[in-house]
Amino acid sequence: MTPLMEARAQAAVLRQVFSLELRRAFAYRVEFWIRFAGVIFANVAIAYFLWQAIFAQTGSLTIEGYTFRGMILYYLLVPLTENITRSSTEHGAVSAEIYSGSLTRYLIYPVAFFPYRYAATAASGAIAVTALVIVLTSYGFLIGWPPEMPFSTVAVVTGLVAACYGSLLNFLLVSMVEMVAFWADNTWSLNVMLMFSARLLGGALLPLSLLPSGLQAVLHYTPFPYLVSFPVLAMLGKVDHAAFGEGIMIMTSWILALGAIDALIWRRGNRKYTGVGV
Amino acid sequence: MLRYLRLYRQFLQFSFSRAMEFRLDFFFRIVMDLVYYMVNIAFFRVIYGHTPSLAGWTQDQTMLFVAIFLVVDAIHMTVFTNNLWFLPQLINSGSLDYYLTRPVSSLFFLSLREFAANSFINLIMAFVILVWALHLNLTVLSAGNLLMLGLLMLNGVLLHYLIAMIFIIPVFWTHSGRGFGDAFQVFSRFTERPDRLFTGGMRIFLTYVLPMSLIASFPARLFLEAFDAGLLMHLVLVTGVFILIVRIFWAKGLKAYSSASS
Repeated sequence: MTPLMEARAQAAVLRQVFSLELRRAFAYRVEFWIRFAGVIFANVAIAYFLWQAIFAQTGSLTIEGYTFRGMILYYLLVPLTENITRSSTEHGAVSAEIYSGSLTRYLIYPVAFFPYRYAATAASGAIAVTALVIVLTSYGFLIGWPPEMPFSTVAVVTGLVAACYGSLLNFLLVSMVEMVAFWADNTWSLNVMLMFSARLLGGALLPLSLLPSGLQAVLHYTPFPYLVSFPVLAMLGKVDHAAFGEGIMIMTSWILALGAIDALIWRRGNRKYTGVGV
Repeated sequence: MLRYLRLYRQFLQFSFSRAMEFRLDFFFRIVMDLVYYMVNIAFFRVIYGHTPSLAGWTQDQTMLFVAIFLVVDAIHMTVFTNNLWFLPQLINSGSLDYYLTRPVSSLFFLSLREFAANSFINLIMAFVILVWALHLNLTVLSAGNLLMLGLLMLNGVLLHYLIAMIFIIPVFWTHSGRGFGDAFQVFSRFTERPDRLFTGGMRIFLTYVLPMSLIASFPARLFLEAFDAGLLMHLVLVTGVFILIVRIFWAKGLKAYSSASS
């Protein structure tokens, strides 16, 4: 088989995986939509009442560059963006494959393990991108964007690009933690720990501009802001071209570094893996 | 009653033996909950960097509220979470038969059979945070008030469990992987904010329909502020109604249970 034919065959397999995962995502439609709408509702409702109280208490029109309407739009975009960046962990199955011993089957698959897993999560990512576009369009028509953050198609597309790139970053970050399963009995706690940290340090709980400036400067060089805050701010038009380029450079550096670390762990882990499960 | 206590002692013994077999996971869980506690405290610290008061509470008072929901959450994690997590699997796989044929209440057995011994240390850490938060609010501290707080926190744990069950029991009909457990996780975020932030219809929703605000906010208000009999009555009545709802809902779910795997 020529390299071109092999690449085509692999692409066909990945397309099939994508299609299967898309169907699986919709297998339990009621739960899927309740969860989707519930997350957005809870995030926006909590933010609305919290910030309404704070703006009323302080009497300020803006807090760290956000009006009340701007703040609510930020919190609307957070779960929609997290759906994209965290779509790559929806199935979180790397550790499960190791524990069950089913990782063995990938040895005979015609595609490598990580491209297979990423293709499997791309279906959730595609749903999340579609959902973001639908919700944002509806928001624009029904409520309208705040005057200080006017809607811009370029900004939204730029933010979506950053979010999709963020999903790859998140995939590598979570895979690194999941592969600890080669040595440890359970990685669930590590995953949850990573999620808690990423939500605070990534700007999901609070816009990062509210944090102390020293901490903001340090966070700028960590992967966390690129999982939530960076794509959201890009969609809001708060990231200029230079800052966007710098952000993408930092993300690329982390993707390369984590890719190398993941490859190393994978090689070491495979030597330890027995295939019998636990 | 004594029979149930003896049975629960057996559950505890099994759980501690099992937890000791997975020592690394035991350690990971401790660190995970430490991170969770720090994130929650840091969140309100940052908020108070931008406002002097929130929902009528100072930062010290809010820290006590945070400590209360962390303790309630830690007790729930230790006593109920593992059981509720695996309940949909037991129902879907048809493995419930074993528990239904035991000479004890199936709801008791399935809700309490697994004590998460690996979360036990976290429970101690949550209590340390509570002691620290009480220290910040010494002016309202008294033996009577402390006893009331203890009882109110236990009521909060019970209510947390009852609401979670309402989201999980539908699995008898939906046969999905987790029932509406994910939706419960989403709505439980409302527990982590003081109830007085919410106004209008949302307030009614969170204090009567899905009473998340009663889990930690009401106990904090009853402890920190002048005693309000109406608030206490509200708490007791809503908990009573939810006990009834869960018992009826569970009985209906068991009737729908076919024992076949799906």
